[in-house]
Amino acid sequence: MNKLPSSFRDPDGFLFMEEGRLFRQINPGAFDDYTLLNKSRLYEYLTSKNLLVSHREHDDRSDSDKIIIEPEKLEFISYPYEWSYTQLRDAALLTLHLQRRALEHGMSLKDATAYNIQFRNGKPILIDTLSFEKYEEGKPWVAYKQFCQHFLAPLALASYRDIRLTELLRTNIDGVPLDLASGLLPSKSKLNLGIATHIHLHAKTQQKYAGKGSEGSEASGKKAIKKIGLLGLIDNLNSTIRKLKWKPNDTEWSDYYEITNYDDASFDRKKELVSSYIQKCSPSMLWDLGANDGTFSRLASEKGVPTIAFDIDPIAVEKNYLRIKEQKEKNLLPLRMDLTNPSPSLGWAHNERDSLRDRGQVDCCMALALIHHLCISNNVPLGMVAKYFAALGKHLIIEFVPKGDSQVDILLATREDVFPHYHIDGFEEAFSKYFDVVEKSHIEGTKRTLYLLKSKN
Amino acid sequence: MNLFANSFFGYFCKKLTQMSLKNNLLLTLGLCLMIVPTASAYLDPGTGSYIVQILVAGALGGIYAIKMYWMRIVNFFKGSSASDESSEEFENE
Repeated sequence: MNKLPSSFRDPDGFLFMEEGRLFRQINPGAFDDYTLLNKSRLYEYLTSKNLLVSHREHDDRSDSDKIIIEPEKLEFISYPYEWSYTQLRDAALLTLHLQRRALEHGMSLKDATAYNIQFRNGKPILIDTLSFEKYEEGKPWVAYKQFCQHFLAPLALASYRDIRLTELLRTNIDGVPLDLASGLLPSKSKLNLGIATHIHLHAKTQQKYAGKGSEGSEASGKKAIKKIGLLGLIDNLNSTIRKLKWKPNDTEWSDYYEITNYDDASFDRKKELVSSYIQKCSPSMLWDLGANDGTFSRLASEKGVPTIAFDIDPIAVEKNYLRIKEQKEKNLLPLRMDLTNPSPSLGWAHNERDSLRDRGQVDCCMALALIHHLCISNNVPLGMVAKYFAALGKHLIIEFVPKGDSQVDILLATREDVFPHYHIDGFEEAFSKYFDVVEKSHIEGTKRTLYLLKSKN
Repeated sequence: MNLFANSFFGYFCKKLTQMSLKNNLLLTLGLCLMIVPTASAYLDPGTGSYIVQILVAGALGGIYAIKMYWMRIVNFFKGSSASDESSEEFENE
């Protein structure tokens, strides 16, 4: 049994892998809640609407000490600090919607962590079957604080201040502390009733009662919050989040495809080549590194290949996600990723959240019009790029953009050229240490060359 | 005085906090009303987070009830069944 290191917080159960299959053990403490999940038909309802991952029970492996279920395994696990604004917003709204449906079925969410939400076919879905407990009349929502920290605070910070503040989720594994959010938000946010209540007042009250928990635990068990009050709280959080907006200014990337030096014919030729290379390595998963709005990612996802479109630019990722939502596209997941500082391993013993590399090696990576940004803008030597890409993918579709290309010239215009090895021979030499060339084509009408490489590992 | 305090709600909250600072009224009220989770919740819900819910749930529940009745009236005249944004967004395939 290979217990997943991310699944230790909840004593009611844990996830483990066996022969490539994912299982969840449910401990006796959660038997009643698990039974109620089925009996109340909440499980049936949520899975029929694709709001919760379905699972299969393994009676043969279950006994009086444990119930074993096999939940549907997702192809890729992403983290909230990699999501665009609307992805985080949709995950938040889904969590509230689940809580409302749970209350309707006599249950309640016992946690509201953003890590319990994943994206499948362009839509958010809950992956933790053990998140539901029996609702006890009068009891406040135990996960209210966690919801505000994981969702409301970063969304409010993005909306009122700067989208980059959602990266606080990376340094704060249990969400953005509310006193920090309250301090960073502008005064005008206090005029927003929802933000004033759920962040500012919440932070002040937390501060006031900090360290007085033992007094609280001695308090009586009178019923304090009626169900309608709880539904009102959920509804207010819902409308507060829906009213928050993030209106990005255009970034250097957002009109990238309009300002490249490709004419239509070269662009089409590049698409044809990329398409044929994807077909040649027929990957079970593809990572498009530096995907921008996902134009080239779709060459894979539209053919049914599960594809992750990584980009550093939150606007490009947002545009991509909005398009997926609008067109109801499948197999494509856009994520924010700075490849010069990719998602690290995080949490307890560096094992709770996987780094980008730990989530590889995938069948195929794509790096189109990217290498000059890594080598020239960020001074990464070609050999180090090759080594990292070999760790990420078994195949690599990569476009070499030489000096003399207008995009490279722009990067070199304001700095000294300290890259004597940045040329096609240097590229081939550096990459030949880790890859074999399967195919290579000059892209007509440009100075660029496209390669299909296969890792030597 | 900041914008928060200028708003009626902000003023109300500030006054409430000031009052409790003086005589610990809010703490007493909060602790009297507070429920301690009896189930084996693995999350620490936070005393402050419980008290905020107790403070606002009554008003928000009232607003929610009015909203629901209003929706029913609107839907009655429209002749359509009640459906909220989240149901439309997440439950319509």
